[in-house]
Amino acid sequence: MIDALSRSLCAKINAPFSDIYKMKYCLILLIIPSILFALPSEHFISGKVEANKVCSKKAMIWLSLDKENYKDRLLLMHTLVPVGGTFKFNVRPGNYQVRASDEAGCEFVKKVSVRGSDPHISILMEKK
Amino acid sequence: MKKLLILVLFFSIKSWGSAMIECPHGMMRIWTQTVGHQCVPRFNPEPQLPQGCFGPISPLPQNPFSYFPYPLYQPAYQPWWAHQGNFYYPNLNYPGPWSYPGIQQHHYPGSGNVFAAKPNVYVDSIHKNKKFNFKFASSEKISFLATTPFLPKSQTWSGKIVDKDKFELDDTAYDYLFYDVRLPKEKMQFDRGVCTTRSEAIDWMLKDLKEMKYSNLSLQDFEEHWRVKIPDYSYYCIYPQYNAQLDPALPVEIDVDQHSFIRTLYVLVPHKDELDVEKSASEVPFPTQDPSENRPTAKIKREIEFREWGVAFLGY
Repeated sequence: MIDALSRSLCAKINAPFSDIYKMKYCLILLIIPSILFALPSEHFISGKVEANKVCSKKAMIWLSLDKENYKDRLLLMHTLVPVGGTFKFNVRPGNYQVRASDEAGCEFVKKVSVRGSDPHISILMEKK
Repeated sequence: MKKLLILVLFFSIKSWGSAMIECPHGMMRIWTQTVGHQCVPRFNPEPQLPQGCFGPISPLPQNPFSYFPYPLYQPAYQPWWAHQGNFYYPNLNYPGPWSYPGIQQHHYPGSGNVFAAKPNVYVDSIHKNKKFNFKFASSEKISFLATTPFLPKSQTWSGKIVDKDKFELDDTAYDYLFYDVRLPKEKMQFDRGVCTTRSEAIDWMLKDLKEMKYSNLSLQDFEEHWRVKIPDYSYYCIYPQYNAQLDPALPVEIDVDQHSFIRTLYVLVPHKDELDVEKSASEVPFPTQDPSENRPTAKIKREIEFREWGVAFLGY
């Protein structure tokens, strides 16, 4: 079955593969982009905010591109979340930084790679 | 030897003194490693003593510090998060990654050219405790960008209204429900609106919200957020979207008896140069009609009143 599928598909695009083993690789090469295309281009990062007693009752949660250089670290969204509260950022696949800061100087930062899954972050605000 | 030391001391003081330049009135002396001392204009003018026939008159000041020079730079009030945001991000004073005249939409998922940033939903209830469900009931896919609290797949926030003006979900109280969303531009109106300077635009929106009896807390939140997040361009055209536009574009069902829901979203289009119909490069026409005619009325008081405000920018 797979052999037949490989032959028919790879022959259609005139793939220069003579034997059936190479044709199977050809099949894989054809299927992988299709699977990637079918994957959702939209994910989300969710989280819950907890804090030490010294921290404020609300924290600003910042979502930016994960870049070391200040000029490239573009801020995408931010939301003010009460301690105990939850949030959700809808994002494209990519690398991000989730940062939390509050008025009392408590902080949290985490790098998040969003590919196939939707990461959940437990944010613990701490005084640095 | 003593004479030599005195001479060295004399010349060193003289040379240091000659390097110290005297600056005229209205200027201040600064020093940098590359240029040395130089005079630059003060940011705030020095107070002048009143002049009499024989020089400055020195009345007894009531405040001993009244003639003390002003600080060189007095920043406008900024909320705590703006200081922190500026420290970490280059575009804090923009609603997102920005390329004039709008948001760089390729950074975001979903579709829709109108980026509604921070619609906040507030509540004002006569009941101390009341259960509620707030559901986004669109039959089409909604392109949310952010929500607080977490919005589940059912697209419904369920909880109770507590202390008359707060939402409680999973034992946590929220001052407001928050979401960022992309909306289709074709469902917005661009005929009614006003064009003015940036500062006047913020004042106009606050006045408009007051007309619809938005709470003081919601007005404070609005001002605090948007004085920071509206980019610093000379002019803005505001195209207010009220229930007439928002209810069809993003329908919401709230299953609480005796409630009302007033919705407002200001779509802002910046203009770098003065507002000139013929010179304008904007793809959005200047508004030609009075927006207040479409403003929802808040005359009838309901048991539970929901109000949301938001500001949107176009994506490119």
